[in-house]
Amino acid sequence: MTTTLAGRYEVREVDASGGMGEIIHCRDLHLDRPVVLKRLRSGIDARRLLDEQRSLAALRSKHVVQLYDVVKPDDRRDSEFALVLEYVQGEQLKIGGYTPSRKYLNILWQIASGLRDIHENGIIHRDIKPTNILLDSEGVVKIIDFGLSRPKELAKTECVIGTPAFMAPELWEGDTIGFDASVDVYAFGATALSLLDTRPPSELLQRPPLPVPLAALSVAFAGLDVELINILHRCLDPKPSQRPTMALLQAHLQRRLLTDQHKAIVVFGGTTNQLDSQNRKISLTLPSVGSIAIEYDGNDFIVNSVSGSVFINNRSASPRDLIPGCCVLTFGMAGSRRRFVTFDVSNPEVIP
Amino acid sequence: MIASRYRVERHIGRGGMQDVYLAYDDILDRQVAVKTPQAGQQLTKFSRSARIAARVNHHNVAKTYDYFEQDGHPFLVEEFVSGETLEAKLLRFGAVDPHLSARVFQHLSKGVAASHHAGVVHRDLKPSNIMVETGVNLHELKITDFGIATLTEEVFALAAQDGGDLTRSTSGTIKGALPYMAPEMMFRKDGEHPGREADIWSLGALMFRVVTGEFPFGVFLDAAVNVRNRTRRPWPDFMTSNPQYKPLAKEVQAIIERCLEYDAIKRPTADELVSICSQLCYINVDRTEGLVERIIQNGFSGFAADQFGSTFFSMESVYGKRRPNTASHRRICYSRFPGMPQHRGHPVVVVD
Repeated sequence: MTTTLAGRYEVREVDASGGMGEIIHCRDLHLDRPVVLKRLRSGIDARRLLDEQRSLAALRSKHVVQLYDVVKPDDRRDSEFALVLEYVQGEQLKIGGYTPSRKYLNILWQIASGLRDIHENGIIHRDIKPTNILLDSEGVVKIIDFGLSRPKELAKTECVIGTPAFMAPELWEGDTIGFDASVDVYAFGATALSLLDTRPPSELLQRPPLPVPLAALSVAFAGLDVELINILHRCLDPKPSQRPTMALLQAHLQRRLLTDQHKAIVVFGGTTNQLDSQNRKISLTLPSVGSIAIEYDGNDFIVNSVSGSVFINNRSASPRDLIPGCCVLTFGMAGSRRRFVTFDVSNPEVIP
Repeated sequence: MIASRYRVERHIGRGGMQDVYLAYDDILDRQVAVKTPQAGQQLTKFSRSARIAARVNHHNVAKTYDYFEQDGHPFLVEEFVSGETLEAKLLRFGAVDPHLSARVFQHLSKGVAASHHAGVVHRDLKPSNIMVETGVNLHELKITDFGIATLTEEVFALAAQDGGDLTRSTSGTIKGALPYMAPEMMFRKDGEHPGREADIWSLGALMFRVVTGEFPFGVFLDAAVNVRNRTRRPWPDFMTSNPQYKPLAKEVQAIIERCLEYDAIKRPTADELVSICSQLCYINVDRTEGLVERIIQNGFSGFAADQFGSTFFSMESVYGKRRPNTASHRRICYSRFPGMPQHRGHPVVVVD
């Protein structure tokens, strides 16, 4: 016999093993679609569940699972609220399942994007780890299980609830803990490491984790660029104030994903030139007025050398200047006969 | 108040066969769109289209939150996007420059691909069925109104009332759909069921409108005649007259042409479209809206006042038929790039 909760959710499968809450896979009979109901095991503080509800309702991120409803399941005498969540067709991120590839960087970028959205909405997740991150059938990363998250102002708690190995050192201390969004940044660093098929440094396997030397981390993250390893090392810093923001991580990962993907269209007189990873350099000269040489280094278009009167968006050009996206290069001083070159940088958009 | 939780704030639209209201969900503290069929519409169709829409879970498709009946009236509760339809945006923009168009193309392709993966064909893709956030960025695009996913049967029933010829239908729904309707849909024979390819045609026709400001085959009956006679409007000169826009404009034209193949099987699939669009390089810097304050250099350039102060622009950067001026075409939008003494705006589009 099938059970129907709240008059519309037909129970298909109950998974009582999930951390804080009971997970009930259901079919919504109104909309004929699968949904996930989540409620606390009896005896567990309902406050946490409502925290999750508040966090989710406040967010509008493509990386956060959609909350459809909050219901009273009415199948028990001590009925409590249950969340009705979008069923995500997909898989948990696999520990040790990645090599330092573009695909891996894309996953990290998506997690960072999601955490950035979460933090910018004043929410701390508190339990970031690969098993709480799904990759849906459209290739979009979804961060789940906000059971431990709560708005920033409530970030004082009496007991340590979290998952070892991904849990920041400060969460291991004492009774009353004040913490901030940087616990997610720590967990992000640990997650980034755990996804790789390399051996994590032994310091991070300690309970609580110990500070990890950059050299040891560089071995585990071999294959990633030095700058990224440095940032990930800062994520794992025991001092919360030393950890970067998710916005910085997201920006850096996005920059990595765009390396060698840019294109510049340079129009000089009637001719159009294109600069990209195949064709990195251009020199433009207006005899007896000035010249400029620009090179694409994979991330930026940089002025290599300049002579005479050349201006970039009306500012005198100097070596090592970066081209500001779209600009006009002007040859000649104001008042004299001038020539104009348009220089427009574009790139593919990184989207999940 | 509906279902003792949705507080109706105001009527916001009358699309196809339904009325749309903006409401506030007291339980989840968020704004939602509540849809209900207009008097005389078949309730089973409404319920079926709700179930169809509910199968798609993607950030470029409006999410279905809830469906219920009250006093025999069905209600569909959907994600609400505060803003306006793409149709309303196009009336302001005229033609959208190739860079922003490429972005719109990529995101809509993603939404259509996700629908197709879920086995859902929209069958009525048009600018008035796409919600966009407030402002000039066109970043948050959500396809909505899968209400006509059952269009084929519905349309032909209506057409029968009008004498059997779909293209002569007096139905507002069909009139609105005609400019974007695939030939196999327009001239469907008994027993034929136009599928996913029809959405690709519609997306192509829609993108033609976005990037040119014009309907590829005209409106109403003209659309049917022109689609039958294969007389599409030519690409306007302004798309390619500026060498800065020409390379991307050509790429976008080529993709649209592939979508508008008469032979449905020659059109790219939504997945192919996503893959092609993801290769496009475009300027993806947020757009700013400004008011032209003065025109200088004999009309060669000007300044616009905006939230950052003042922005310089060159007439060369203007895309579309309309030229900015200090009278009827004062309102413009652009991406801003650092310059001296003012930032420079590019690409520039009149949005009056």
